[in-house]
Amino acid sequence: MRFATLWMLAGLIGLATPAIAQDATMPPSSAPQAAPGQQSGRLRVDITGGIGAPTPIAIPPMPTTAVTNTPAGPTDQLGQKLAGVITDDLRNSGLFSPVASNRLRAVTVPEVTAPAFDYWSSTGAQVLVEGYVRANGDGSLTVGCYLYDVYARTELTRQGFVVRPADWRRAAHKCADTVYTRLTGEGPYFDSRVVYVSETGPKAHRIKRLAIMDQDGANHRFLTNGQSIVLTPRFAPNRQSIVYMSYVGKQPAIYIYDIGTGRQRLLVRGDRTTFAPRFSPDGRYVLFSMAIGGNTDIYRIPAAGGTPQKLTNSPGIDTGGSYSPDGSRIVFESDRSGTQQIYVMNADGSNQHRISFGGGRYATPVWSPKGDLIAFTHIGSTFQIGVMSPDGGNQKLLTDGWQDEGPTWSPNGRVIMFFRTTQGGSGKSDLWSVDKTGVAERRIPTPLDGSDPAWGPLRP
Amino acid sequence: MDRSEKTGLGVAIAGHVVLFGLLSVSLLWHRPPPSTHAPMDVTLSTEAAMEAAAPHITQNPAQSVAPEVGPPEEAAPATPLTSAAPEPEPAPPQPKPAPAPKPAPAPKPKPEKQQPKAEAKPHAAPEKTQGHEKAAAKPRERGSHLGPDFLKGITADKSTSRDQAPRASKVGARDIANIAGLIKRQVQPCYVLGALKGTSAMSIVTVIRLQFRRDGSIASATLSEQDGVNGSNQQYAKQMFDLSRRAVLRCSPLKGLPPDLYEGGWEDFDMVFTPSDFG
Repeated sequence: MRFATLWMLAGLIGLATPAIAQDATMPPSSAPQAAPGQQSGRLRVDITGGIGAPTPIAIPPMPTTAVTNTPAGPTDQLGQKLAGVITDDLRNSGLFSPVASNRLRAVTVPEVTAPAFDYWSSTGAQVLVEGYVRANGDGSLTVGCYLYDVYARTELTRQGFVVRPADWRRAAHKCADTVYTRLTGEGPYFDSRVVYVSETGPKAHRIKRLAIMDQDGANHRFLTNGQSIVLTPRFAPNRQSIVYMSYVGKQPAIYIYDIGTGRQRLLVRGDRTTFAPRFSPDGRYVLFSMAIGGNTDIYRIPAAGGTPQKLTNSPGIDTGGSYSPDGSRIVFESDRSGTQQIYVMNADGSNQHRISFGGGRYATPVWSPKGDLIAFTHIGSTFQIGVMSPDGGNQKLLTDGWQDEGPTWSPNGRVIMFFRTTQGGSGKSDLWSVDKTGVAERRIPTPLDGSDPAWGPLRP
Repeated sequence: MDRSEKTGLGVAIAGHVVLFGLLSVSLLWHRPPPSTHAPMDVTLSTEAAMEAAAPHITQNPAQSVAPEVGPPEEAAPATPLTSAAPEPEPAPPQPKPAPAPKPAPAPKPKPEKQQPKAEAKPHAAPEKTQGHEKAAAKPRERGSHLGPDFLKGITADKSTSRDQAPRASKVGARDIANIAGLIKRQVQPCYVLGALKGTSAMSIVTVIRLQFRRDGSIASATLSEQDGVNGSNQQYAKQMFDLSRRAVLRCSPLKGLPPDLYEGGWEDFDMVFTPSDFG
């Protein structure tokens, strides 16, 4: 039996062998299937949804062609200060992350036009700012400013600035503006000034003075002596004049202050209460509000003086007019519906219509210099700064303080400055700025308290 | 065991012997059915692999290949006709460096020098051409790479030829998807929008054509096209290209890409940067 079983087993194996060989030559059961989203035959890689992190940037001290003593100090020290101001400007914008100073190394003048990209990429920097300082024979300074893409190993832009030694900070701001403009696509704004109301003293007896400073808080000085209260200063487009409201005696009235001469003049003659002034984009007119018989309307008057022209005619308070950058329209606030809301009208007063419908109250609208947005103060349980499109859409609140109000736009329409009052009885207020996307909120340093900032135009 | 049982057992044994014999004979004569599919190469890879089909197989040994040598029929004359004619191209690298450069370029072509690796000289050395007209009128000069073993049949010597064709002549759709996933995972973290996040630039889609070297480094990155650019975001177009290019430059050289899928795969492709998550 055992013998027979073995033979039968051998026979079965012999029968099965061809079948196994047949299986080994079977073709694949199915062909690969195309993945969705791929074009046939050609590779295509989709990268979607980038990160919004600040861009790492390296700004080493600027070398000098020859160490020379200037009224602003030796040129080698100036090179370090210049890099410092540029670094602060770009960091304060919230859009850049400067490489730490201990990772920066000194560069030579020849290196300025031939950067060591390998080194700078090792610091994590994606872009690089290099430059140099040179004292000229006529007493001026030349500051060279170069921007490089560290990974593409290319020069992105370069600029040179000739300034008086006293204006060395302006050269730094101009360089920072060059970098900022090339990397963000936005207009420049670092070389600009801010006028605001400097406050000091107890809440019941505040001394309010007009003050002016660079946008970063440097070169601060007072324009008025504080004998009379000043409110709501606004820059003229020519940067030489400031229109504001002041109490001379006990009558509030609108004045224009000339920065060059230090003189001020009354804009609207008469004994009416006038307030909330603002220049037109061409500087030829001033919008303001005037209260007559319990009814406040918006008027327009030539900046040189003259007869006011009435633009609104509704019962209640119409105030806070602000021109669109092309001068064709005016945004303002009105309580004609029962609460403060934002309205838009044509420059001649026609086609008045409400654009704010988000709940709560809206005040102090300001049209962006780019024209794309209107900044405002939203009044709900707290005061917040927000932006919306000129048609009222895309509304977004940017800040979350206890009392944030009085927005003013940077010259490029990217940053908003405002003032924040702390909760409680002190009434202490400070100047703050925030990017229009809601990032990079920071306090602007002022020697005293500050309120009612007005950002001036870019300096030439 | 009685007689009938013995008989039955004998018949059974005989039957099995016969069956075994028949099966053995059938195995000897059995030929497996011819394969209808060419053998395929299979590469085991967890990420991306060649398409498991249709490999290109060299059918002929290299020794039987007899490429023609000599100047092409339409070869330009070596003697410059005008001063504006381009200078003759330098000769291919010689095995030994020339002791000294010639003071002036030779006015006449030397075809044999342009084929220094030819193992056998042509039967008829090409005459030195005197000019374009003469060269064009002459019959086409031919040479051969044939070795002494030509037409001697297959030898025991190891072939010196190399099949330069890729083992898989086609990159499949699944491979493309896998490579795209590999590259996307490496580049995506470097796509930093910085200052442009939240602006109207988010509707700009940037397409960059990338050419890579085999080591994964970038040979070139050029703007192919941009979509979604309008009057309100035109100011950001250049910046969107800059930061898209920077993303792929920062995250290269790319790693882990299959070398077999370089040609026709990740050697040259488009990378599409869409800043908005919503496309």
